[in-house]
Amino acid sequence: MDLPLDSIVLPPWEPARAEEWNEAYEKVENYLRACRVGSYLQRARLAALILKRVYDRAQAEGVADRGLSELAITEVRERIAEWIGHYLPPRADGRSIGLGEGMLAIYLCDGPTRWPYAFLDSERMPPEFADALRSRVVRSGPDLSISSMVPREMDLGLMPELVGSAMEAFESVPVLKTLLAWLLFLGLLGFLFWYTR
Amino acid sequence: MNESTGTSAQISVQAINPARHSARRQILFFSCVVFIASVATWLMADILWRGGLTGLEAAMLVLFVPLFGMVALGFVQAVFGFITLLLRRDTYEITATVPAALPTPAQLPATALLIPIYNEDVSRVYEGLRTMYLALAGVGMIDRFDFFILSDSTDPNKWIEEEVGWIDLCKQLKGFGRIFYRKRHIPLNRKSGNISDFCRRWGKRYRYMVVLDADSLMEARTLVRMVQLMEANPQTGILQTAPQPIQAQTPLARMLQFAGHCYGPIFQAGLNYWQAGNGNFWGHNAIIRTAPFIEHCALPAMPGAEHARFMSHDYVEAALMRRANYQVWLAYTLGGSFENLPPTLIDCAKRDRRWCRGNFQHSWLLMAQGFKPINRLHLSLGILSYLCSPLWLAFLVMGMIQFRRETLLTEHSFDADIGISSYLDIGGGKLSLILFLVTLAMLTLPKALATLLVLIDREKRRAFGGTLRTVFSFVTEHVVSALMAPILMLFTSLSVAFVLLGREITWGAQRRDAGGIDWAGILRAHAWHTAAGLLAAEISYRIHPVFFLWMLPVTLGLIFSVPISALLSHDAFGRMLNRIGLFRTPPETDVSLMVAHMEKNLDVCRSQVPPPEWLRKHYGVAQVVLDPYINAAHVSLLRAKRKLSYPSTAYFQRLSDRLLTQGPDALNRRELLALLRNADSMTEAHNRLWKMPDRSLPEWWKMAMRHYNVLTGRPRSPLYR
Repeated sequence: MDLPLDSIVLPPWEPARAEEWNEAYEKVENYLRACRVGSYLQRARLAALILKRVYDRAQAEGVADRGLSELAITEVRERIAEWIGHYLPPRADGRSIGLGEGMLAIYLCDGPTRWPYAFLDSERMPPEFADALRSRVVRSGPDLSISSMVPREMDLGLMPELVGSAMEAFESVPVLKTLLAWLLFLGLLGFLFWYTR
Repeated sequence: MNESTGTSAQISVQAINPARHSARRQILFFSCVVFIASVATWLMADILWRGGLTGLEAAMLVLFVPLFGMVALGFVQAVFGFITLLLRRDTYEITATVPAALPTPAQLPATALLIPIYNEDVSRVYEGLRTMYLALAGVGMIDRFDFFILSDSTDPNKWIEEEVGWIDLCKQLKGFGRIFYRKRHIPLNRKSGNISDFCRRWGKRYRYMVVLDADSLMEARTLVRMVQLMEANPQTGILQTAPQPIQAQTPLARMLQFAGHCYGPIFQAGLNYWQAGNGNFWGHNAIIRTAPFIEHCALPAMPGAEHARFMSHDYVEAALMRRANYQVWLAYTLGGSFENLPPTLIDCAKRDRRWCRGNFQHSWLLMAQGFKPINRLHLSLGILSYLCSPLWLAFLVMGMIQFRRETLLTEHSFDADIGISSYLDIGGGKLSLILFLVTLAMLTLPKALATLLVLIDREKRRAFGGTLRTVFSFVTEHVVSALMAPILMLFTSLSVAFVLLGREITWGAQRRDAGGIDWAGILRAHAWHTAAGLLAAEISYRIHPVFFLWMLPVTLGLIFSVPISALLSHDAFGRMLNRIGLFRTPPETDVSLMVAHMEKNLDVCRSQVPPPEWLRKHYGVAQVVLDPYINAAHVSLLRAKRKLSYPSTAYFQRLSDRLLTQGPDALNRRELLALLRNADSMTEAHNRLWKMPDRSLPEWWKMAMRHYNVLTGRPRSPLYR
């Protein structure tokens, strides 16, 4: 397990950076909520542990360039990647599984919903959860079986010559359209003239 | 599932071969049409030709021929269909070629069910799919069918909703590896391009493919029977079912639904009588033999437009299949095939406008080499069905002028005993009345015959709500459709005019009020109908009061087009009609388990509280950027791309910056789609959004995060759960 939940140690109290720590806590808590960790208790425990690690990391690396929130989200995502890496087999080329693929596996087996206290906690990881993670693959389509589908030659007969050239001429000469509109209008006037007599 | 490994066995039954006798049927059928149309034209000529034929009269006579020809065709088709159904015997009924018993799964080859979608109601599509999936599982045949959702959606939110829905559905049904989702990034050649894309990628794996629409629903037995029928008839390339309308809510949809169930069968039986194996493809709810479709049915380019394909691809594909000597059948007695209807008159006009454009494109193919004569006839009838509206309009205008001329003449030749009327001693006026009444009868009789078929069958009569309700529904439908006819005539005439001028015509999306009526939209669409109706009424009254009465069937519908359209689209009125049993149909009386199941699920889907308006507009984008799982799922479904060039990377970086610092409203649809298609950008956007300190986040994202993450228990899904 990566995060020993039995011994939570909160980061030391820093009054000057209290707001910043508060925001970082909120970010982590929200991220865990977005990961469907529904239990308040589990979220609180995980958030505290993450923040402790952020504190240690900040002490070691400094946070001048990056804020605590950013560091906290980086930390939580790295923890998830590390945790899921224990359960998912590496890729065919030997590289370990990425966070995206790990997230997808968690999503597909509904892990946090079905085992709410096992998320990020290897000690409480039920074997069924681990099996479910491993068995989840998503395939948006079967293996390709390529065919060539191309239109056959088609002789359209006289139609393209008869109609096509007339239509093209009509389309390409706006004057013809205007003339047609005028003819319609004149026709209407002619009708009115005839009708009112 | 792979065709090459499938253990399908041919079902040994007598295949149907229509070549021998169908020509005889066609000769008999079209002789009847020509006979009726010719006699009517003779009478019309007799009425018009009184002391010579003026140019106007000659033009009216010319217009009369195709107009009455279409009436005669419909009438004869209905009569032949009526006789077929009355005798309950059709030697060319393809459904009769296989036994009713279901085969074992091993007897069925691999079949793909294709659902091409384009910005559709995701809940309706997926709940329909779920219902079919469970039904197939229920009869033990699910192993023989794969489902493909083929998306061409261009709305970013719909895209994400489709992905989320697909994963949720697969999770719920354990359908990974059996339900597939494919999103084309460039929706080339619309639906036909989407199907061709499937064929090129996976077509070889499946002997058959069932093409569905977004609103299609098919019973498991029907799907299995379709495959059986194709196996039993190896020369059949396409087997089209006759989809029955379901789930109608508005009065218009209920009325059309009643017409579909009550009148549809005799027209379909009549159609099958003369077309036999030369049938047509209606684009959905049909099964296709994949190999010949791939080989012969790729759509040719439109003349003069190298990359454009025919919009109404189905008729062309049927013609191409026939050109390759494969038969196309209508399985009109199969049942268990359903679809939805447009709910309002304006929606009907929109659909017709699309079909009108597509059918007119077929004019290029009328002389194509190798097409069967019947296919040329199908294409011509498709064009003529839309051309009839402007022809009718022209005929009415000419009729007005002709009547006016007659009233101005000092010597009235109209009532003179000339020609046939002199033998009958009735004069031109009475002869006109007889022709008018005959036309009216020919329009009414098919519906009356269909209603009679329902009334003489005890079971059907009960399913339609009993004698009284059936007759009342028939009369009401007839009156309302007569009132609607001139409105649709003007809609279609306008569509035809725009198509011929190469112009687009658009109607805005409907905005319904609490009562389900979009008054602004209705006024916009029908104001000119009312004006035209008032003008025609005024002119006809000034010509002659009697002529005014003759014109009333046309002018009444137009003058009252606004209230007619509003009433026909009123949901509550539709529900009231349902309660009193008007326009009742068999699926409502004997509720289909599949339909009931889907409706129950859809009710649950629609009862979910929707996100607030400001978030709803970009819910999918918010979801894919915010939600770690949906982001991961979306990225995993994108094709891995080679490394982008610097300008491309910089472009995506700019889009991503704008999305995160200004919110989704800062990007247009094209930019959002571009961003959503880029896997690296999407991963990066998710990362950056969560890492940004609150003070750097725009208000939209702050509120979206709060709403998505804190206020709602779990993300919204388009599915039942």
